[in-house]
Amino acid sequence: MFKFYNSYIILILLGVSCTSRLPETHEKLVEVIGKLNDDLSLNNFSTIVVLPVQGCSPCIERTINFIENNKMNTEVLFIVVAKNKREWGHLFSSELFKNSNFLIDDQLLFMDYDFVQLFPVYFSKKNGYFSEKVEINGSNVQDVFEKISTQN
Amino acid sequence: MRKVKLLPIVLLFISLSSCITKHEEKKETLSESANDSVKLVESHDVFFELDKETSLKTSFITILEKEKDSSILVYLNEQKPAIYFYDINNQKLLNQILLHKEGPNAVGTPTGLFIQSMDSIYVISSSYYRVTLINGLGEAIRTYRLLGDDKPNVNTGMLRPFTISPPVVIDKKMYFNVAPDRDVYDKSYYNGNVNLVLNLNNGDFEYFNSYPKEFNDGVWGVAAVNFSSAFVKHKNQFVYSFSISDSIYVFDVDNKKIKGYLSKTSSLTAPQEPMRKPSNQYDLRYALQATYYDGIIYDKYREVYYRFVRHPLSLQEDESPNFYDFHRKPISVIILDRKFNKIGETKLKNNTYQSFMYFLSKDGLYISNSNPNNPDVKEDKAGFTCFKLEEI
Repeated sequence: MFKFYNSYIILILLGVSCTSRLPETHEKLVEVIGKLNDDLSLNNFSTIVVLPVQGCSPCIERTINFIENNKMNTEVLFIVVAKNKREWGHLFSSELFKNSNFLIDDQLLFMDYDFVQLFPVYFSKKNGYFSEKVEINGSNVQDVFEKISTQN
Repeated sequence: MRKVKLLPIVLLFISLSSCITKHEEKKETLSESANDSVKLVESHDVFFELDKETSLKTSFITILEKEKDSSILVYLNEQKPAIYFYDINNQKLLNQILLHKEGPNAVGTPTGLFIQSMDSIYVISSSYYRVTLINGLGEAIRTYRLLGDDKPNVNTGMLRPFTISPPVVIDKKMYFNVAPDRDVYDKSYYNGNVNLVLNLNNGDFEYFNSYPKEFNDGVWGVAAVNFSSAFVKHKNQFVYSFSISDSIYVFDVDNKKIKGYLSKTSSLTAPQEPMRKPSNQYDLRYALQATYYDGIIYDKYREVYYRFVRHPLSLQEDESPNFYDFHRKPISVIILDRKFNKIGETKLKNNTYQSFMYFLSKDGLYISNSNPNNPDVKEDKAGFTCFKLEEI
């Protein structure tokens, strides 16, 4: 009986160790973006920029400009966290809304998943998976956008 | 036996909880004080029809006084971008100027304006660090760049040319409020400069002034960096309302001196505490539970000042707030006489008004009633409620 349990546990452990686990951030991003648009694949993007419509207003203003100026960059996925169009519609030019790299989180899922609060954030890939999250604030905003622009 | 031992602990916990609740309620209570001699009273609403591309929320509105009983409301659409002009008396659209984001007449993304005349308007773009003088057709006449060849750094700041802090021109120099390009969770943020003056003749600019000394006691969150100013033309003075300062500060342009005057909300019973753990993670909850002073307005018709206050929200430990809860923060307006003595404080109806959108006219103080939680908000009309100053 003891031997049976032992081999069972060993088998489970082997099974777990053989499965290569995705980084938690990537898994959560797949989950939350799947809820917003299940046709969207994260494989198509190298960077994700997430913008809450309220919070650090200088950081938000600069991020809006960055999104506008980089809207044709299909390597970057832009996500705006806002309840309804009345709040974000005036922030962007209308042609942006048709782009496949522009997504609205009107359920505020990125807040529920603790990805954003009062600052825009960006996610970048490491070894093919999104693992790094950086807050875009007044002291790093310029460097962050230069980095994203040169990466893509 | 175990039940008997637990009972006193449970009772103690209940009594402690009830004490905390009572304390919080007391902290948030705001009522007319016996010393109040005036109050603001709701009078009537006005509505300005917006096109489909214009939001109920704008960073900049102002009043242009045209002739004796005629004024124009100026409403900025930041993203179209365009400037709309409405007749205050009948709320009809009089004119609009389309702005350009690209090309030879580009103004960037506008966030504020200074209007010399209908044919001479300074358009300010915060994130582009740019000021562009345009004519009535939206054509660029002159552009000023406020960053030189530098990147934003600890010595630069982002212009805040908003309704609550409109730019002012004195002797061909334009004065701005700025937000330092620094980390808001580092105490050194408050050593950054908060004003900039641009010489409109030669394009030179310089930063000056910094946050009042009370900011140096800690970190106060991202919402605390905003501050408001009003210009009192006949005194050549700016009056500043900083978010966590119980005092207002008066800056005399002629002698460059600053003086503070106590202008405290009656709801605050204890000094405000800085953030215990300064980071974005704790900021939302902190900001919602903090008292922040907001817009300051000089009412030249009645010779008083209005100072907005945004009061704390009560949050449960297990409650997960989001940034929309900012709209639930109760608002009051402190009224000061011309010598900055407090003469009243009026609490506004909850979930109705927006403390960052207002204008002043002969009739009274108009405050935006387009709070997203207001069930009476009309999608295509910017609504304002006129408040009149009355003696108690």
